[in-house]
Amino acid sequence: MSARRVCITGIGLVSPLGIGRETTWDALLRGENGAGSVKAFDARGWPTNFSCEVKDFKLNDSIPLGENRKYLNRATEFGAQAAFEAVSDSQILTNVDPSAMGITLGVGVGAVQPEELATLINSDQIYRQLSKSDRGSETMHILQNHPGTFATVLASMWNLYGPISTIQTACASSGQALGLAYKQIKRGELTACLSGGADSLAGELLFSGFCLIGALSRRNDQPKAASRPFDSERDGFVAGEGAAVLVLEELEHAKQRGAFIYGEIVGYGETESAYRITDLPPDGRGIVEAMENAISESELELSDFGYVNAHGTSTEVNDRVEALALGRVFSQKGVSPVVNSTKAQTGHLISAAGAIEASFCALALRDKIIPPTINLEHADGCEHLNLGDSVKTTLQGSAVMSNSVGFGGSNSSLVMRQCD
Amino acid sequence: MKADRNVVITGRSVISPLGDDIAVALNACYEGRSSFEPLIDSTEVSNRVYTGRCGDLDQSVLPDKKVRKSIVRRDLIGLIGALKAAVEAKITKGSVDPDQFGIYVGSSSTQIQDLNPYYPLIERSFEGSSFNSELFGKELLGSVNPLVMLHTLMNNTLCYASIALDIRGVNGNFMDFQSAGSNAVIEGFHSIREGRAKVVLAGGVSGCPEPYQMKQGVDSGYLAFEGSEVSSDNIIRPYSSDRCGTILSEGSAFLVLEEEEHALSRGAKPIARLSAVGKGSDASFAFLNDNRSKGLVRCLQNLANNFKLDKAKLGLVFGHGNGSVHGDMVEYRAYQEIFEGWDDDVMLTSPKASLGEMGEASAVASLILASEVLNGADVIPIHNFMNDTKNNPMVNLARQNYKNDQILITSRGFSGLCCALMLERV
Repeated sequence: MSARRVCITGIGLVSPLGIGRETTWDALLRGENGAGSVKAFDARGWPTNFSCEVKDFKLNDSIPLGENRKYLNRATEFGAQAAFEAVSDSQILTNVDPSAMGITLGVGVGAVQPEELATLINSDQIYRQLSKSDRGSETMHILQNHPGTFATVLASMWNLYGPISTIQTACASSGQALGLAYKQIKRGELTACLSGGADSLAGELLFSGFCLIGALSRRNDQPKAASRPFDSERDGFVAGEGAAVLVLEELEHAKQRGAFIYGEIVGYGETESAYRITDLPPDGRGIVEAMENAISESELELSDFGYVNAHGTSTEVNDRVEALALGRVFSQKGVSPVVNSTKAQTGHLISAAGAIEASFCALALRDKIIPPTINLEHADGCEHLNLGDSVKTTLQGSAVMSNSVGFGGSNSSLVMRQCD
Repeated sequence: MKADRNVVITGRSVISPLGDDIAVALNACYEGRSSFEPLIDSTEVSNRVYTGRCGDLDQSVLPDKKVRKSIVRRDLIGLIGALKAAVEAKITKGSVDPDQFGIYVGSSSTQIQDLNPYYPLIERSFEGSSFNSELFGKELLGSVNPLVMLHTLMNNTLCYASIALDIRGVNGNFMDFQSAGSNAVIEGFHSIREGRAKVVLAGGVSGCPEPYQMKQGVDSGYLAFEGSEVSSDNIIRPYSSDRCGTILSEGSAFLVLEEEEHALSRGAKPIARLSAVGKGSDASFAFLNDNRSKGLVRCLQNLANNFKLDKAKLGLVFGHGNGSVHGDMVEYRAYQEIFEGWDDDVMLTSPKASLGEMGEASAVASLILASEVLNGADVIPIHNFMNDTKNNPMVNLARQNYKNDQILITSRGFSGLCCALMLERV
């Protein structure tokens, strides 16, 4: 039996740069920036008062969510819209056995509002409401903020009976979700898979969690200059939100039905740094192995790579260590693909970061264009890397890579190439 | 890529309301004994809702006692469980090639109670019934433990177990409700079969249920809501016509999965072989309200696509059976459909009358008890069953010896994900 191959046939995006795949991609290529004052709550006086929020979002009424709409939160509403765009783009639903189509997602925990928290912690009041007469009278709204709920909403909407999985490994979540989808199609478990991520930090508690550990940039007077991966003046990441959903499909199936193919996923690496919960090993261990495993599986030459979309969060440690890891994998072997991080424009989408960045890689393959590198004035510790240009450039080479690194030590690396 | 790698189990742990000794848990299951307790509260109605809580935890396996302050109770239960499984497998930090050592965990979600470092500031930030975000933000630094977000990460069991054992290979943290643990085992199984890892620590961990979860669980009809006249041992009635809901328990269950050749070469004793797996989806929150769900049937059919179901070998199913009104019925029908013509020959059991619904850890706990049965322990009888077994011929009501070579373990989650694991005698 010849090895099964996996390609991308649909992409849907909701991002701080716009609603929709082409809107987001065009804004990215123009070098636009999604950062601005926090609108979701009153952030005056906060250590950080800006973020990359999705603007003017309204869930498309034609998405057939039915009664399951009540299970969505802000992040998964983005996700539903992105998924709808992806399946419309690929036209997969009328062309696949629903038992052979699965779902794998990386989803963040929903943003519990302080008012809600104040109610939920009042156990006396909750217990007093317990009554047998209420049995069956209320659906389980508890599901709304659970990461695992969104996959079921999608499966239910489109009657997809293949396996569904939700992964939560912080910022590596949706990179790993794409990796799982890739593996399941390769194994023959699935013909196609909806895969991606959704997340939002637009709530006081989630946003404050990152403020407290000092991970967010405090460049409050210059929000659009704040996310500056690999720059010496970086001081933290910019919180983002949004969703990206891709349709992954077995290549022959996609070809037979005449689907448009963005690119082929040819390698995946998944490792643990096993070091500290937030810090990375100084030698880049973990990220290096994820990249090397993905490249090895792809059977590509290093010289095939024209672009690496780095995790590049704009935090001091991540960028330094990732730059060193990229040097070990590429530069020290005499190869210099363009490396940048699109978080400079989108902010950090946390659980959805891997998926939106993989989408940008697929679009780069489609258009043979590399997005610009913005907010880079003085490269810090990465003189060995080719950090690209401040405007979009032509993709040289046939392969690209997308990296994700998560709190907790999980790393993922996806390799894609143009499809023959 | 070698396709014939066998996957064996070389280490196990279960931490449940019955303790952390597998033999003790098994005995409780034989006797129909539980340790469920009513919610402790001043109100009368709360005494009708039960929960299963693990007692004091044996923390001797922790490499660094400071870790207790860095993680919430759920992950302490998970971490101890993961490390105990490694102890049984005789695996220590550095004894396995780190790059060939993987970890997959099924974890429950962030709990409201773990956000308690925020409570005082939230309280101060209310002006009447409205929340003052500006005030909250101004006082944030210095008022709240800065590490609260890190303490409550949903992948903390994975992270801390990886650090403790130097696990640097494949990994993932699944959030698929009651099927999360079995999904983790399935991905570990594939990783070894595909040559991505030699050893994988896989399992699930479930946090202690919270008041608001209990309230919504009762309202939905999922949780039992019984009067004090019923003994806590008799509340969960798997597959019984008078079943009235389940009881949530905290706990963890972990396995060390290992390529058989690797296990033998280092002198480890295979406890059982994991031979086949399957997954399928209901495509709905079927557990709650849809009696027509087919996810488990699809899941078992997927397993059977790669593994011949043989009535000479398979004589026992450790079902999901947790006493829930809709779930147990759907599940039983799936077995009738899959085993049509030989359902008289396959016994069905469930340990949940004693363990409770351990959520993300439940199927892995069942698998571990099943591994004991394959190694000579008796089959667990189903307790609190009221039906006529003529209509439910699979339901096993007797403690008895098991001579067949295979046991099937199933799980069904809120998300509609159903998983099946086929365990074989080594």
